[in-house]
Amino acid sequence: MNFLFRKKESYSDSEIISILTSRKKHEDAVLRFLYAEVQPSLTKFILSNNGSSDDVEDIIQDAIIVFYEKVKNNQLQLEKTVSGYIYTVGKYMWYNKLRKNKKQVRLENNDFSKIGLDEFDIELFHTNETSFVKELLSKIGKACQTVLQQSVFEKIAMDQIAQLNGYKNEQIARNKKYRCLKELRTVIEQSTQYQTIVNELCYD
Amino acid sequence: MTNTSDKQLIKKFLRNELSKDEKAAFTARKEDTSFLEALENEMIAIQSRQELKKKLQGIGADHKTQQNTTPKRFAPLGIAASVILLLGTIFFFNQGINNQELFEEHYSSYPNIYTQKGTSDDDKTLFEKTMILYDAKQYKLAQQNFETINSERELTDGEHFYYGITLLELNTPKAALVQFKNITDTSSPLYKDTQWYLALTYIKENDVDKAKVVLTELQDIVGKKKQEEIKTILNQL
Repeated sequence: MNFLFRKKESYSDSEIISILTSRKKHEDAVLRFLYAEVQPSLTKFILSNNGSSDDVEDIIQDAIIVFYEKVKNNQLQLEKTVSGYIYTVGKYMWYNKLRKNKKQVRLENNDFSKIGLDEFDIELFHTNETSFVKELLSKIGKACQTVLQQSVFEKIAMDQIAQLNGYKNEQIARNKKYRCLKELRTVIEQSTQYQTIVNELCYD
Repeated sequence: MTNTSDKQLIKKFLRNELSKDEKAAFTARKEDTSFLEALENEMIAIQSRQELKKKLQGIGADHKTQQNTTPKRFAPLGIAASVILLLGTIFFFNQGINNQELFEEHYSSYPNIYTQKGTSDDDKTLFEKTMILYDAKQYKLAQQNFETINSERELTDGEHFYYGITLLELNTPKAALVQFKNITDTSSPLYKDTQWYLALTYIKENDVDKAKVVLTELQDIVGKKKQEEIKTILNQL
């Protein structure tokens, strides 16, 4: 967007990693920058390999999520540049999709394991998994989901979580997290999917 | 960190794809605290990935629109210049101006910079269709569309921005404030424009103190012309 006050967004690889690691407020700007950076190369690659523009959008988003999570978990194996890494992840994801659709693409595990990925990273979303998790997490309430996401996925420090959620202090946030995890564990254990496995083995 | 076989058990459990042997392995691990923590963490990650995906979908929609956009770069400059002239005149002739009049004199809906060229209606996203309604001053219908988008996913900065202006056009400044306040990232290309409209909305709401705070901060980060304009308003408040 070229507005009256437009400011150019551009980040070096070390800035990107530093912003995502420390969860500075420029995180959204970094995501926008990454999207624009990888979009041309992944578009070219996917469109020339039997993909549609919808596939392009999907793969770019999923590849950025993998990168984001690897940075947050301190598991990033960066051989070249950040945009090169995201491009490679997207490429593997697309090959995996083609292979699943029987488009005769060979994809060996050691290809993507070279950059620290496994089969679950390159197939990020799975319908059964998503609906099961959504159903279970809805039972612990929105406030619990928020605290757990901030702590577990976004790696936000507990004192910041307290501030973000309006808790008086860090200890209250910790207690909340503890109670939420306990609730989640109960919800898992009471789920049909879990009970079926346990009971099935009891009666075998 | 989760080891590979634990991760496989967890993922297959969540996907309901465990084989008989894997079910036995899962049951054997179910009392282990580290295994249970890994299971919980993976569930939270799955939910978080969904939310991050929604955010990236919004960014993608913005990006797509941006690529098809013909920016009207100089329209806001014209508006700004006119506003300065108007303000100067008003200040000279009528120093007793009230906040509502001050708002009216400054306020002008922001031009639609999302004008699409060469795309059929079928190709347009709901936001693009909404911007056509915005252009046609069909603000009530635009508001309904923004509500629909908002119920489906998180709004992007661009959507919050135009939703806010739509609400101002519908004379609901309190609701507009909520939208403008969503744009908090100072590096967002929309940040300064949003702060401008936020200040105007506070003026409309007779919240002079907050308007002054926003304008004073904005004064430090805008160009010379805009600084002059803000200075004039601050003198009037």
